[in-house]
Amino acid sequence: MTRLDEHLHDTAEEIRRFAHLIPDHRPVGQPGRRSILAGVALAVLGTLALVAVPLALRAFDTGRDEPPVGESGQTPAADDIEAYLYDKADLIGDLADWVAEADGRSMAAEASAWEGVAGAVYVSATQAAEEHREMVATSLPPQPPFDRYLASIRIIFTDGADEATRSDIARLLWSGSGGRLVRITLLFHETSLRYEIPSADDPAVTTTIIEVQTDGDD
Amino acid sequence: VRNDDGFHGSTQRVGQDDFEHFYLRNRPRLIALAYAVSGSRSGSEDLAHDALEATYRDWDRIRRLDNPAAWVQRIVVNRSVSAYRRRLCELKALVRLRGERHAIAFPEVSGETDWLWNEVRRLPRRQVQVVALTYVEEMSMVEVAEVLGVSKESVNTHLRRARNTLARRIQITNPEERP
Repeated sequence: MTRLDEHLHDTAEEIRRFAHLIPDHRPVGQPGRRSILAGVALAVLGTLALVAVPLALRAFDTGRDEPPVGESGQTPAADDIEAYLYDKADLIGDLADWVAEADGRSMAAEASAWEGVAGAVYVSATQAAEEHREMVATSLPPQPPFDRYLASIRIIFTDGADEATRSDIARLLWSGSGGRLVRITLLFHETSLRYEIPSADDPAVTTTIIEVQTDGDD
Repeated sequence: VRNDDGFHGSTQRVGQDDFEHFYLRNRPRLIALAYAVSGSRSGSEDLAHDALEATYRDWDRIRRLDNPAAWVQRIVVNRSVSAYRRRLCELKALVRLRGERHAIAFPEVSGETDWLWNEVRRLPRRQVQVVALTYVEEMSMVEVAEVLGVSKESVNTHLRRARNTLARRIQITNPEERP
């Protein structure tokens, strides 16, 4: 075994140990599959887009009110997904407005991305969004056995904000999404906060800081 | 069945309705795999859960596969590469907007590990996947080939190239201290 091999093995072992230390954020008290789903964190759809992009996309209204996914959960055509994502730009734009309202200094949120899930449409929606780098994906409606929307949002802010402001932002995002967000990650230049929504039924516990990093990276 | 904790559990071992067991058994290792490829802690959590959720959605089919874990591992390694690239874009955006960039240190792993695996992540996509599966998952070439859906020979080629590149870069970066 070469020194490189040894080094890779050793560092890989460290990564494995680290992974075992990451707590499982699934809500307590919800046994079975539902608890798994309720706690599922969604991958972040990293389509970088200036806030101006979703705001501009708001003007693109196809008039669709329903997502392109049927009761059967069949994956819709790529065109339908694209149209749906453009449609939901309204919601993204609203969120951007709320962010700006909550923290005027952070008006220039650099990156915002939504990712939604709805049965079989999920993968296709991701692929569609990745093909359109300036498109901002949004949440899709739940499919059985989901009883709530699962969505996450990730925003990079250009400057810092105090904790109260950050909390306000998270709450605004949550309420603005109609309670559909289950995870909110706010990236500031020096800190990263993740808010997890433990329950859609209890607005009093809408946001909880579960992770604070001081390096501004992740 | 590959190892003691049953990460490569067969359909029989996984059981009819034992997704919870599958989840608990696989989650930490999927996070490790995702982190190795993506370099993002929160991102690796999301990637692992995302893959597990996708598994859950199609559990009736996936649990009948010869190797359900390989299916979810493939999802993770594929999406992790994209996640890493997106993360780089975000960091660049921060630099562009702020005009400065504080030194980043990943708190949970040592600086050496962070450094080495950042070098790994600079490799071509397939090489990153092969290295991560080989070292983090401790898979044989045959097992890596199964997860990635390629031949064993292809895995061997990618791994050899990755090692050569890493050895060269490491030597150039710090010939005295790097392996």
